[in-house]
Amino acid sequence: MLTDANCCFQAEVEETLKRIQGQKGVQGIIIVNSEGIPIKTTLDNSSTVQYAGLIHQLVMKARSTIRNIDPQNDLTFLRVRSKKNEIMIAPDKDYFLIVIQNPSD
Amino acid sequence: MCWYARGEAPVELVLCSLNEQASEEILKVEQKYNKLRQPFFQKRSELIAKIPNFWVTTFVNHPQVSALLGEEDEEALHYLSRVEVTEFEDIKSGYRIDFYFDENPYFENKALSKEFNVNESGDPVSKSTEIKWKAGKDLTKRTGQTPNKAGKKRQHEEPESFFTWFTDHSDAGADELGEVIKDDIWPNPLQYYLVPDMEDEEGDGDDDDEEEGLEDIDEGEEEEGEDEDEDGEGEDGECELNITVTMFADEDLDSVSVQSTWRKSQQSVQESRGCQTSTVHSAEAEVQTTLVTISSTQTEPQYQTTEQLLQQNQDEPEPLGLKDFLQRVEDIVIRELVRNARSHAFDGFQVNLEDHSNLVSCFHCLQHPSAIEQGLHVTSLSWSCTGSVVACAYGRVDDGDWNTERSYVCTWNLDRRGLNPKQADLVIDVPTAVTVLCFHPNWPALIAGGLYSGEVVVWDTSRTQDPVLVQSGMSADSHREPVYQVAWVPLEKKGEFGVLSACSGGRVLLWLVDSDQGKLILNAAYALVRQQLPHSSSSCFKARGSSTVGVTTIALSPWDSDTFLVGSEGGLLLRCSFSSQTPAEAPSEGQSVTPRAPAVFSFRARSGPVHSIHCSPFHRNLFVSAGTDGLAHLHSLLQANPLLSLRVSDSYVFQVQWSPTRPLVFAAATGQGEVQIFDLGRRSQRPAATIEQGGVGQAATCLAFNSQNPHLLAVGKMDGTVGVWQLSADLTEQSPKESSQLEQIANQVAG
Repeated sequence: MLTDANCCFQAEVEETLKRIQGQKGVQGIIIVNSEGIPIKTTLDNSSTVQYAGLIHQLVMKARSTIRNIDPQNDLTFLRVRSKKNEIMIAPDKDYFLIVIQNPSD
Repeated sequence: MCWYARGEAPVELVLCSLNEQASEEILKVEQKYNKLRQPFFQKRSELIAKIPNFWVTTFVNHPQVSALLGEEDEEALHYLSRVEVTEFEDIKSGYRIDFYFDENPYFENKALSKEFNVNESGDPVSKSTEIKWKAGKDLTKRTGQTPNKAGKKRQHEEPESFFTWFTDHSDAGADELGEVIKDDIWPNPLQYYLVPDMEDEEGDGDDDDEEEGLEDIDEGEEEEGEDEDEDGEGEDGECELNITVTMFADEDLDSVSVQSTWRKSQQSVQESRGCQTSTVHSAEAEVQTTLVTISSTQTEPQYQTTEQLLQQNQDEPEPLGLKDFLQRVEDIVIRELVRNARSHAFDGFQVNLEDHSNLVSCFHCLQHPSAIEQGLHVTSLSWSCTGSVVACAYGRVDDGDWNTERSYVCTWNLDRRGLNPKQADLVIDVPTAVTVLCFHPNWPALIAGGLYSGEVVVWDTSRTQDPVLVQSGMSADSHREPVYQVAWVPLEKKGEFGVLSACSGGRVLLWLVDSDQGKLILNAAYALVRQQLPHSSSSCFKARGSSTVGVTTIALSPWDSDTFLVGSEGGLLLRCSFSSQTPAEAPSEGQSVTPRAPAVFSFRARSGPVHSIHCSPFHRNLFVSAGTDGLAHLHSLLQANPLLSLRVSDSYVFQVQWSPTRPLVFAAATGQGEVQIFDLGRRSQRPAATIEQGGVGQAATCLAFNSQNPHLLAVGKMDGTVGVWQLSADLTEQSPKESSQLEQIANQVAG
């Protein structure tokens, strides 16, 4: 039973990731836990690890910036646009979701 | 008075008599001066009457009096206009204090007074005027004016009003308020008028000290010890009486003099204190690393972190809360993705974060004077893995004969401050001409070089004595022909490299570095024999002359460690494999390792010797080749025919290399002395930039991009000079679409 339930969960998770991946220009998705360790990814291992570590630090910094300016405020979404692509980060209490999109593709 | 025999006078009795005498005389003096003071007190009173609220302020500021005052008392006292203290003629019998009030809402009296006397039996008594209170304004009947101190039954417990003093005759002998007004305030009220509260405890003592001129002597209650010096009691019993009579200096209302002393003492009461920590010792230290060891950082972390990632994946089937989290964020993420894909917000938006130079300019022109004297040419250039050292090899490019001239390998460190372009940082003497050089990809001190004599040498520039680390020596294993290319090849064991050398004798040898013995040990040998070359459908050559293929250049593929490309004197372009097992049909020359035939695929042949091949660092299938036909050919590994051919120059092209940062850019060194830089992203087939260095007619024989500092390009010329050029930003900065453009080019089907 437990395995069935897990399968269900997994299927849902996979489906959600597929939906996101199917958007135009999405190059990769990474889910990182609160410690900065990637738990799901569609990119190769070395890139994933790199993204996870660096973006975790960036999100912490961005969040503390917002809260220092106004302690009642909090970070809801972070977008980093670069020459080649755009990285979108949805932060949460336990995880955050990183999506790399090349909007011109 | 008792007189005793000499030497035995009882001190107490003598003192007693003396004190009595003193008292009497003092009394007389007091009386005298009281009389003298009277008119001046009068004058003072008149002046004070002109100062509004003088007495109430004075009373409020006096610590003891203010304690007796309630709020309403203060109000009432605002109407107090004059105070008079009159001591009776003989001082001992008492004094009177008069308070004169203006019209006020509290009582009818214009004046209130209290008088202290001594009655017939000698006891002190007091009497005072009866206060005619107005209706509802009797302050003595009010409660709660001043807070009662709980549980204290001292005599000077606060009464409820100042005015109860007028009705309280219980303890006339110890009437503090009266004494205070008579002794403390009356002689010098200004000290209290002009200053806020001082401490209760210190008030009495300090005041006494202050008043140097006005020390009244109480009627026998206290003896002012300060006034009397002690008896100078001599051995012979004579007693000296020294009474210092203080001068009453209150002749004029010269309040200034009084003020100043008080102020001085107040200043002395005030202390300003500062404190400072002991000096904080701080030290600054700077540290700069000079050595770079890369091997320790290359291998393990990658494995570790990827293992970490994998482990996490296997830990739990599903981390808690992941599904909920995804449900929460999915919508917002998809919304943003869609919006982003449609948005035109950033169209044409370019950010210049760094200084962009649009010029191609020459930084340095490096020369080695002895080489120039000998007329040597620069045959090969290489940048170190750190990007700061450029090494150049001197030799001759145009000699067909055996060359026994001594030559040099020179290195310059461009990041050093004392860079002298005319003097190399390191010069290695080499017995024969050096034809090719290559820096080790990880260790900045190792240089592999191939000599005209066929030897392969590895120099270690960090050694001071003999820079030669290993060499192949002249043996059956080594080359017999000039070595035209050396390269460092990654071996199976990660971090180790072997040296691959190719000579015009058709042999490609892979050496292992054995630094203990100072030798290069042959690991694998490949021999290219014409008969074994794969025939390509479009090639049309006939086997002629010798059967060996004179290898002029090799290129390693950064994508596929098994593939290497070979260019030959005959214009052949071959793709070879390290792992080929076919034994070569070359005549055996007593080598330790049997040579193998590596060629797998041959591309369309050129019409002249191929001088240079380079694989693209951005696309696994692309490489560019150039030779004496003056064209640069862009090939795909999968097709025999070139995808693109560009005319570089009318004469030979000696070297061609892809840019390490821009996928579409490559540079070619021509025999006319120019370096042409091509940008495949441009529509035109003309070069994007041309570098002309030095005199025309001196061929540019070699060039090298610096992968650490992608702005730099080194160009070596036949006249023995090495130019270090800085490229403009558009030649070095990638634009977003380049990879896809390159992909498009690679996917073309060649005509």
